[in-house]
Amino acid sequence: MEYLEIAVPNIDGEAAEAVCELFNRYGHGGAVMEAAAPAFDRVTVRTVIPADDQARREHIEMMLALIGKALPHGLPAPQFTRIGETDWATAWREHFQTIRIGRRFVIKPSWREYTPVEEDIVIEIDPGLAFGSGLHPTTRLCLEIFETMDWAGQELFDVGTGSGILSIAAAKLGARRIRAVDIDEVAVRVAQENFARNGLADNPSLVVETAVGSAVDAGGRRWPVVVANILANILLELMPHLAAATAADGRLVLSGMILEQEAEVTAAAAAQGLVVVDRRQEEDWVALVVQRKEA
Amino acid sequence: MAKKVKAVVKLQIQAGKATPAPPVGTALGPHQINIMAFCKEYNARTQNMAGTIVPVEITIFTDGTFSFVTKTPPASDMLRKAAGIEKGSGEPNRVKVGKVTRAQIREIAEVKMKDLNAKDIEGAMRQIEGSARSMGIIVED
Repeated sequence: MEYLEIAVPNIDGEAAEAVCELFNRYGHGGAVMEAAAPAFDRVTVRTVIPADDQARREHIEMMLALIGKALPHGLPAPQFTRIGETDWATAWREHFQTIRIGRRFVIKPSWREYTPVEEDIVIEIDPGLAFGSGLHPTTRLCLEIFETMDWAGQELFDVGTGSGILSIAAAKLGARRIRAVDIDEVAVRVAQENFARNGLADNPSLVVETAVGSAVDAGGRRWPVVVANILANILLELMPHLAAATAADGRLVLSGMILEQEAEVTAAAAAQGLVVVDRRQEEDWVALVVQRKEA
Repeated sequence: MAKKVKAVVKLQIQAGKATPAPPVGTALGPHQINIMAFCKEYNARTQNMAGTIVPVEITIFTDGTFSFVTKTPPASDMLRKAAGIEKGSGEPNRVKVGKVTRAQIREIAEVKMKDLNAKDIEGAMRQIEGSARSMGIIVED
């Protein structure tokens, strides 16, 4: 979608509050106030609207004029800038570097060069609009856990695959079957692209399935390894399904929770007969590996 | 030595719904912030407040690092919810669109207290009452 950015520059706090209220109501996806050095008491307020929504633009212009009349110093004229999709979708890429995670993983964006050294496992990832760039602690914790596991001949069910980074890591470590699901169609498409980019699609000794779906869509079987790198409230909601998808002696990797949510997630796992067998923490993010008690 | 602040960006967005699309992407992209990482953090920390605007203040330092804190929802958002209305009045002097009780004003003031320039709860309540009046919401005892 193309957007039209509407900006009211260089205004004081009182005017900014009024403009923000207007932008929250009529803008698309909220309002932004920005103050830059050295004048932190003056702000620019911005919002966006769909580029072709002329009626909304006129309405906002009219309301800004009314707000300007009510303020002691008035309002400067709004500035309009058309924003093409690629402007924002790729702007951050310039700052996305090749990074090393754990002992062996090297995460490389497709637009950067890297020459691997001995034992390196290079994952080429292009996260696009889906989560899982490898930069986030939740993903890093999962990769570190994966590195400690024996993957030869293993099978992975990846719930909330995002960019597909964890499935790719498992495949590169030796897994022979992978099922990656996400409720977001964009994520599934991006994951498929990343699988192809990393040679998963044409590996004859590997079976890869992808689907738009969640933990219930386990492909009619139970899995030796299940990973869910999502958010705590979703982990809680999915726990019965995640437990059901995990084989009797299988392991379930749970990530995406902050420290204060850990107890609740552990309790929900315990309610399904799962106990914590490994725990990792980075900053206040926590990842857990759980397993059935009898296993 | 304290880090030097380059810019402060405040976003007013729906709890749990930050995406890399504008206006978030256009606001944070130029500051070299990993937008995906920010969205995930914001959504994780606000997921229990769905349906509410949770402002977030992002401080960007000259060394390229950033920190952020979430703020309390705008008074107008909380007043709309308390009065059970979609939006405030276009002509607050003449057209009244809803009512709130003084007890509701106190509840909102207590939540907003830490983000307001008020000496005590009475001062905070007066500010919230002012916002209510400017939206065409009547305050009742």
